[in-house]
Amino acid sequence: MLFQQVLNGLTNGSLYALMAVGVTMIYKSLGMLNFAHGDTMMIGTFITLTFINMGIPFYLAALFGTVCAAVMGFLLERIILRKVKFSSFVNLLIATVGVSYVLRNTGMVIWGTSPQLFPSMFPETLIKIGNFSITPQSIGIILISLAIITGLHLFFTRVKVGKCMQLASSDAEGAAMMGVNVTYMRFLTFGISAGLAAIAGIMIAPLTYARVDMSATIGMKAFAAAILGGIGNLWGALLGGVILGIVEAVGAAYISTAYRDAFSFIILFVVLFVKPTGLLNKKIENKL
Amino acid sequence: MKKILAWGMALLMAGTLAGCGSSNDAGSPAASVAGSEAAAGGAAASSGETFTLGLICPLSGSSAVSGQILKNATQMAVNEINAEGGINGSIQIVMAEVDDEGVPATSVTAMQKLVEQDKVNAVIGAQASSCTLANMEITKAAKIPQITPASSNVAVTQSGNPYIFQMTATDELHMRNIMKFMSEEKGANSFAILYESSDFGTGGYNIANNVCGDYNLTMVDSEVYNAGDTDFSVVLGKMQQANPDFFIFWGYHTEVAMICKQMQQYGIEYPVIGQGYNSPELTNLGGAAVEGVMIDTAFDAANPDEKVQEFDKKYTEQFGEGYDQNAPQSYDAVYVIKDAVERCIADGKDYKDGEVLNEYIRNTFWDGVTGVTTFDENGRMDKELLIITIENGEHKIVKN
Repeated sequence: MLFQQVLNGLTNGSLYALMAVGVTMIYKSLGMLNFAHGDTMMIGTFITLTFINMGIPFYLAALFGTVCAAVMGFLLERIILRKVKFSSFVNLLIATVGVSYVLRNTGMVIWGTSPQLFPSMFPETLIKIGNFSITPQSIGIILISLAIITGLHLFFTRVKVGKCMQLASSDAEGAAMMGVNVTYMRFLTFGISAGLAAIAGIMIAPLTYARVDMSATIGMKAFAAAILGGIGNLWGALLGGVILGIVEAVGAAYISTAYRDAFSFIILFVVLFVKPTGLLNKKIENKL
Repeated sequence: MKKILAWGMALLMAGTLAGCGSSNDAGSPAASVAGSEAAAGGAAASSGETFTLGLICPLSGSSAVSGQILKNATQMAVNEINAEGGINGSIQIVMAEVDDEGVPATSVTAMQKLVEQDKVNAVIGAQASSCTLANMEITKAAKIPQITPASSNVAVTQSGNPYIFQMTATDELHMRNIMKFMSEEKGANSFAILYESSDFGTGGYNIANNVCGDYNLTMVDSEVYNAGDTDFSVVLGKMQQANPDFFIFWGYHTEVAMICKQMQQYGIEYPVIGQGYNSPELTNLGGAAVEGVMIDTAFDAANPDEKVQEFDKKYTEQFGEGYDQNAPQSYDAVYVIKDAVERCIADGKDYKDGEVLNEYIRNTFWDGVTGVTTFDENGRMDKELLIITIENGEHKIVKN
């Protein structure tokens, strides 16, 4: 039973991780949390669903949905955040809260409030290995998330644009002096982050249905995972997500399902108490 | 400091003004509408005697849709009765309606208006249990009978208020009906319950725990989930291990559809019965997985009963849109009042005396759209409920 639960936890955990990576990227480049991240995921998911309902093949629809979300990320940065940026950190934060509300309510107007069935890209038959069972969907989610995060890591360390993005987010002034277009790099960061959110949404929706309020819990878990692992750290987001997922599943199985969501936040408190920077961040950055 | 105080005062005053505005709005337009409708319907009036029926329900705010359904059905019954000459063939019903916005505080003000200005003889409403609990104190003080066709919280008829009647099935009635059916007709001895961690769900669990002994059933497992949960493998696994005769689900359609899907996926096969998820969305979301799932309900349009089919046809023709179980219950509530008044007159009593009318309502035996309605000593509806199942995506009556 324990192994089975760890496996279940890994599935949810990889989804949290994928969302947390987006949160952490934005934090690194702008030093703030993007509260519209979860709603970007929702919009990406629903756009995909709309394309699927129009008869477009699943993978093509998913690609369109992801691209649309990425474009939305670009627009969010270009139209709103760039204008607010020079006022203050708090204003930026509140601007993303505002965007989140606008997105969610627009979603309600267009797609309604009732949950909608979302097709899965994996077969539904259970794979049984000995005593435990796993759905192809779970395996797919874990592998895809892992592949995307590894890919991102390679992109940031091996590819020139990625390296420039990394540089622009860790030291904007220095990067600008070296000839890196910092504004453009932020623009890209938002697009990639939003695209990742849409991919996560497309994988979550078959499990939870596509619903306009889907960002409420997943979005919060993404923040928790990012902070748990050490915000700003790519591998920290992965670790944080996986830990949250497993703690939830095991806690639900052995203590009570009613407190599933509470477990993830309790573990967050404990970790922050012992290690305020999160699991993988070494030194305390002086953000004041 | 002074500035803050000044702003505070200004805000407070603005708030009070707004409050006054809304409570006034709640009454006046509705009354005029009711007046004109009564005038139109009153053409057939013969004796000039009238019976004022108050209706209190949310006509604006977030539950306006349910309130409108309630109003439509009540209006339909009143129009029918008036077209045939009125109660006892001569007393026209005048409807006075107020909007309580689904807010308990507003509902008290609205009820005061019905009682003091409109001088109602009986009241139908409110919709939300919290509103009924708040406003039934007014009718109690004024000794006016009140029937709520929608508020299902057991507290409504637990308070010992003799003027309130609950014409909707409480969760306890649902649970008892389910247990009786499973134990007597299906020969079950044990069950496992899966419920949502809300007031509704935990309420259901407590009732199950309390009443299962009455039907010789043992609760072998109880599991809980949160609204929005997506992975039910743990709870389903535990329930399967307990190996009961059947499962009771007490929750809403979104999760129940998902639970049924996962049962199918994990190959867990038990009869499923419960309440709360009777929604057309259940079959949309659950598809083949919800086939055979049983639901306890007071009313279903799939019922081939002549009265039900006639009601369904009339309502759909007049209002052209869907309705919930509150519609037939409101419709029947009007007839229950009509029946009580007629029995009153036959006995030579004064139906305008609230106390007298109240006693006649208490002794109701009315065979209406929702079956035979009777009330127990607390004013709670006592009724055999329906059990329906899903077959090829359609509702089918299992037990009448």
